[in-house]
Amino acid sequence: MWTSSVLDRLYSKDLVTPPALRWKTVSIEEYLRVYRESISDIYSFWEREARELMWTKPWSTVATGDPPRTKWFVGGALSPYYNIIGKHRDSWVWFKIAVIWEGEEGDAKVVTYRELDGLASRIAGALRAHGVKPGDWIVLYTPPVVESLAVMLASMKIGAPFEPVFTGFGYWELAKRINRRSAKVVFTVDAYYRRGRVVNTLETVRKAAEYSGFKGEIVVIERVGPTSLKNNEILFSDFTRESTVLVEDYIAESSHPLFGLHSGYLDDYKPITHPTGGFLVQVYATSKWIGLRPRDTYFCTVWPGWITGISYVVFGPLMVGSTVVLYDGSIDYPSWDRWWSIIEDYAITLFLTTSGALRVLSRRGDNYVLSHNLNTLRAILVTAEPLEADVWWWTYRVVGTGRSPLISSIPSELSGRVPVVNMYIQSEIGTFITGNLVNYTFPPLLPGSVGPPIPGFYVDVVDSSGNSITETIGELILRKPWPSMPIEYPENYAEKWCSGFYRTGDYAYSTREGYLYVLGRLDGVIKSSGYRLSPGSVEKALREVFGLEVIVFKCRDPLRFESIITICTENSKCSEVKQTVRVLLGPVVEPSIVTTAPLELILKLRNRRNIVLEECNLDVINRLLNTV
Amino acid sequence: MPRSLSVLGVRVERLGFTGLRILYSGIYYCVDPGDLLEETTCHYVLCSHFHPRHCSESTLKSTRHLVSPLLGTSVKPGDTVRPGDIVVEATSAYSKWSTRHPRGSSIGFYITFPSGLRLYYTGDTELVEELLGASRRVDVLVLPISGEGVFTPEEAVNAVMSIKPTLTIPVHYEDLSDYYKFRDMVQPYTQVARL
Repeated sequence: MWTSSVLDRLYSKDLVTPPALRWKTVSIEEYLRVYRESISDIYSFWEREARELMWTKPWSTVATGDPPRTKWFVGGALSPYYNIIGKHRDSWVWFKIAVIWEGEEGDAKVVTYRELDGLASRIAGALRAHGVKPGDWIVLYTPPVVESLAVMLASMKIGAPFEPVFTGFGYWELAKRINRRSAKVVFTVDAYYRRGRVVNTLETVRKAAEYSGFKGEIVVIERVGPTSLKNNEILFSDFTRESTVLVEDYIAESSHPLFGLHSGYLDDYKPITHPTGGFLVQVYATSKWIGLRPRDTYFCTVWPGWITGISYVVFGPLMVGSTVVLYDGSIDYPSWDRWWSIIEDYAITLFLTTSGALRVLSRRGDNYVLSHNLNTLRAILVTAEPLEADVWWWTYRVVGTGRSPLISSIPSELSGRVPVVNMYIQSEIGTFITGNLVNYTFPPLLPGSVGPPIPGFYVDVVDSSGNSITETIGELILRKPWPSMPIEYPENYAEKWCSGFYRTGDYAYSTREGYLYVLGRLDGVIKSSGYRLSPGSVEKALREVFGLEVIVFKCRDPLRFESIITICTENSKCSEVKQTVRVLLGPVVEPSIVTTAPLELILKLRNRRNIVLEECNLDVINRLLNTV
Repeated sequence: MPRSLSVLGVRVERLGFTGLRILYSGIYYCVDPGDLLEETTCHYVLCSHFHPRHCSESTLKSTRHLVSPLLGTSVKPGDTVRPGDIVVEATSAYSKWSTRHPRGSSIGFYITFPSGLRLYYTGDTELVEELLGASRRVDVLVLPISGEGVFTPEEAVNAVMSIKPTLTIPVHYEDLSDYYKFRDMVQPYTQVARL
């Protein structure tokens, strides 16, 4: 089975105690004692954590209702804006830098918490003046820029939920999201730079607006400029200049919608919405535990559009009072050392990236890293997909050793110094739920694993009958609800609760000691370069817009983890599939292989959607077609 | 390294060994441009002292809009001038334990911009009493760290801890190990940016 070969690549027997945490590390048994205590009564556990936030009205009941309809902190109300930004007023954090932004072209900008508050308040006033009310949705389609971060904060200030859409998606995907959210305003940039070329974002938004029949306003942040506008478009500078409205922070009921994402399922991307109270409790607690502190300078390469980028760029670090570094550019421009240069230039202390990126960087050789001094790093956090043991070791030794010895680290031997922590997250859950916690009780690391479960999350691995299993591949589940249970979700999500627990849809393996390995999706959903992609969406787009019947599979890709294979009916349009997918759905969804087969074969294959081909090549695809 | 850094509407670039070029409201202010003035657009020039890497002879000859301890608009610590849109206060800067920058020959600049930004360019100085005693608010601190008649990395950290700037840009170093030493020690007390 393909999961066994994935496990072989991840598996490692060596427990590692990084020198930087030598005096803080406890045994896994001691850690699990703390963990088990937390899940013995998750309601009391999360109630304690909820008291860390400022509530304007306390909750009357911690949780009510059976999952998936469980609601948390019922009766409670709080201002999300105050709990992220406002609370820092009158403290030293107010005058420290909240965001450092660096563009691919080399220009940088810094904004303090006070300035970020000023900008978000002006945007909030403008949104209110333009008729946006609590509960109205704001959609963003931008690369990482300070202004869009401020827009998300402004949305929360007026009680308007937001959905950031990854700019790697094309106009068809954006149109769906604008429509499903009935967006009142769409924020975008005029364009941005990637590998030195200008990417015209506004054009994509215009196409999406036309396709979706969007009649609201499009606010254009000037990133590259100048640009000429159409009737329903307004420049961000004009939009905020008109703002004269003073806006009080919106006090949200605990279950008020905070933000949303479209999560990839087998048949399509479907909207998920997180609640205000439960999400803030969960993200604040986990942000502190993963290592964020007010004096940290934190670089996260995942941008909102994906759950890690929302939880751990927009919320967690700002709630803690850290400085967030945003990089709006390509990983390899002008060369493959761009990220290391950023870490060196801004004294980054915490670095969060994807295993896909580390896999690519590790194949570029050590010199790009070793030509930089990364001594300030305290921890390297990894997310998004399985992290092979050899990539973990490369990261630990080459990125994580530094130049100065620390306790028993030996820089000349690249012996490793700071923790490399791989973690598991999912859009529906909202935050990390497994991983070794740098600012909590820290057990030794097991390379390739996603660590033990995080306190408060009742995580397990089960067989097809729902029985707990260890040392056998099964499915990763959560046995109990979590505070940020989605308040709006598709039927696919509800079905995952049908056995009385939540099926994550990921294969997993638990060691006897309690470490977890996550091995990839079991339901045909594709994990490619850290992105969770829906095969059904590709099929639907090509059928509806292009009039072509296709089936989409995934294959094991040594760099991207998985890649997309598209098999289309023998049709002259097949040669245009790659380019069409790129335009409609975005470059991240572009298939690596497109081939043809008769329609009846394609229809038969529809019943075998969870196939994963061991290699991405035509021979393997032909073998599959011969078996149908 | 970023080629420029913008704070509160003020764009700052490095200029030569220790200098800055600052753009505010369409006007360029160059601080200690060394001998790069001819190839750089500068509307006003601020010279902290007359060592060639700070202000070369050609620089002194080629500009009419000069603020310095002796030539052009001559200022001494405590004086305030208003070139263009900004307010510049001359501050004390000298070496106490070296003969490189005798008292009176050198100054620093405390610059206030209409946008509210306060940038303190200490000039070539050691950790002297006047600098430690000042209690003004500083958003951006630009200070030397090489230890050649100026702060050593360790002294520069002391200066940061005393001045408490939001952002610190170290200048005046050739050996990168000085930057690393300064950065690693100062990181919790300010945000460092290498320009």
